[in-house]
Amino acid sequence: MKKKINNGSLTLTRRKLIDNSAKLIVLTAALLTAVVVFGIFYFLLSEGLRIFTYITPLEFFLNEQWYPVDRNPDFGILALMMGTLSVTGLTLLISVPMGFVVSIYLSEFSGSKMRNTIKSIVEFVAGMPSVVLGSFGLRYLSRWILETFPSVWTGLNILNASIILSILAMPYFVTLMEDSLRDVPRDQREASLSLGATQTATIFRVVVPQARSGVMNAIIIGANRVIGETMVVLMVAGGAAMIPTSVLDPVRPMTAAIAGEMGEVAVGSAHYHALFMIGVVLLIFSTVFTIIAMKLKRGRRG
Amino acid sequence: MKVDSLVRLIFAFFTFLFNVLIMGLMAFLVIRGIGQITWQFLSSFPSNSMEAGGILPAVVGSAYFMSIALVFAVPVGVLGAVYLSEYSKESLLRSVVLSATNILAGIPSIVFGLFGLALFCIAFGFGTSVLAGGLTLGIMALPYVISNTYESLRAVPPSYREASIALGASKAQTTFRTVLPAAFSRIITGVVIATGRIIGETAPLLFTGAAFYITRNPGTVFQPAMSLPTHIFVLATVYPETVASNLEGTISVLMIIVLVLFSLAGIIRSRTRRKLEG
Repeated sequence: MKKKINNGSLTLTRRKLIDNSAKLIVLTAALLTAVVVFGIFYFLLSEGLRIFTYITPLEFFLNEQWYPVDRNPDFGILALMMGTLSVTGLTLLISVPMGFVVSIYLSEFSGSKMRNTIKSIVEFVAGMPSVVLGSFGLRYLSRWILETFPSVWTGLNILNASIILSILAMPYFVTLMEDSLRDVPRDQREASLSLGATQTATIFRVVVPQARSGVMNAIIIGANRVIGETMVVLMVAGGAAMIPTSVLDPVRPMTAAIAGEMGEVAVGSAHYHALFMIGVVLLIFSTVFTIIAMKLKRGRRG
Repeated sequence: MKVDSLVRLIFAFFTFLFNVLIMGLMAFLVIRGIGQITWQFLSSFPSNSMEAGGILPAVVGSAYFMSIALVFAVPVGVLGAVYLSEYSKESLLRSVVLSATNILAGIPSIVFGLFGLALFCIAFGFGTSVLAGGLTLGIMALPYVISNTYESLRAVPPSYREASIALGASKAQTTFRTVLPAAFSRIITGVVIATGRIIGETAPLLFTGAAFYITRNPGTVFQPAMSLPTHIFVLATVYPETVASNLEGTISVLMIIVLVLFSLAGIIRSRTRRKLEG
């Protein structure tokens, strides 16, 4: 009898040991994610901030001259930021309304079979490698732009990049907007319809206003994707570091500058540190966007 | 109502238009190069300064990169999700890990490339290598694996845990013998989708692991390798438009791999659903 109890307590200690080590292992794995995020900030900042031993922050952000390999190099990223801004702006102008229309159709009009079919197509689109779409823009869409607009001198420009990026951004808008539209309780629609409102009025006066923060959330997450997209803008935005005056101008967005130039620079040079500082700018943008999106989502739930 | 059916028609029209265009584009990209895909194409090295020959080193390189990425991301991601779903209470630590996962998911791929360059290539001394590129991709895959595994674990009914605890199982036994197996096929679906997303990533590899042209497969993980997406990038940007057949073939191969992975995920998902429903 006594022996049995002893055995029991022995296994009990072993159990506790296993339990505690399991806890420790999963905790370590979870903490690693946080460590990686801190590591990304640490490494980008420590490499990036060193550009300010060469030039002042004011010159870096407000100078529009980006001539990094000149004998007297210029590291002003204003033109690069304008490149990112113009491409992102036009992309959102194309893809947000389209995403909105498709998501309303899916959540309010379509049957469940149709919805599932379209949603799986949209999921495929989300998985399309950006380099493949970039190649399409480079080889085919650019030719179409040259033929359509006889006055342009290059088919690689803001318009081309924005059309391709719209394809990439659509899935985010469709999926996230549709989720937030469907989150609006069914009885709200029924109440509106039973009061005599048309379906159109119900959608635009009852459903959409209630889904507003979800729609905003979708736009922010999608915009974050578009800003960070690299291969498409590297391949089809034209690559000219200048402030654009029309959508048919070529630009060099920030991501394209990093991807296009990092392979050529000497580690530890001013150019190297400048590219890391552009990375810091992108990192701060994406973190702020993510935090805003998280806040909006929490607000919706709470 | 007349207005209603008009509105419905307009929304349906644009939805179908978008879907037709997008399916046309996908079909175009797959079919245009499909004639290129022969055993010869898949199993030989490029020749004539990459204008001809096959894509073997890119296929092999992609497999290497993905293996390292998954070996890193799957254990860390699954265990991290287990912490979030099974072990953590509402605490500061939990919200830090959750926020970190969200922030990681939003970081641009090129920033991961910079991080991989600074940490793996330079600080760890791996240089431009399969290991550095694979780990960089692994870090990118981490948030996908975590959030998907987390959802899968949350979908396991609490009664499973209660029954296991009631039978005298410990917390660790309950988690690893009952909850994880119950969520297994959903977790696998998530891993397959993460693979499909990461395999086409180009930017993070450009200066952490990619070689433009190699004549033999890497012998160790400390050598650079070619990959399908970076090969497409080089073929599309460096060569004139007349040299298109290898580009189209490589695009076709990558598109088919991604489509197969996504279909696979869809099949596993629908089979699981059927099993759960009885």
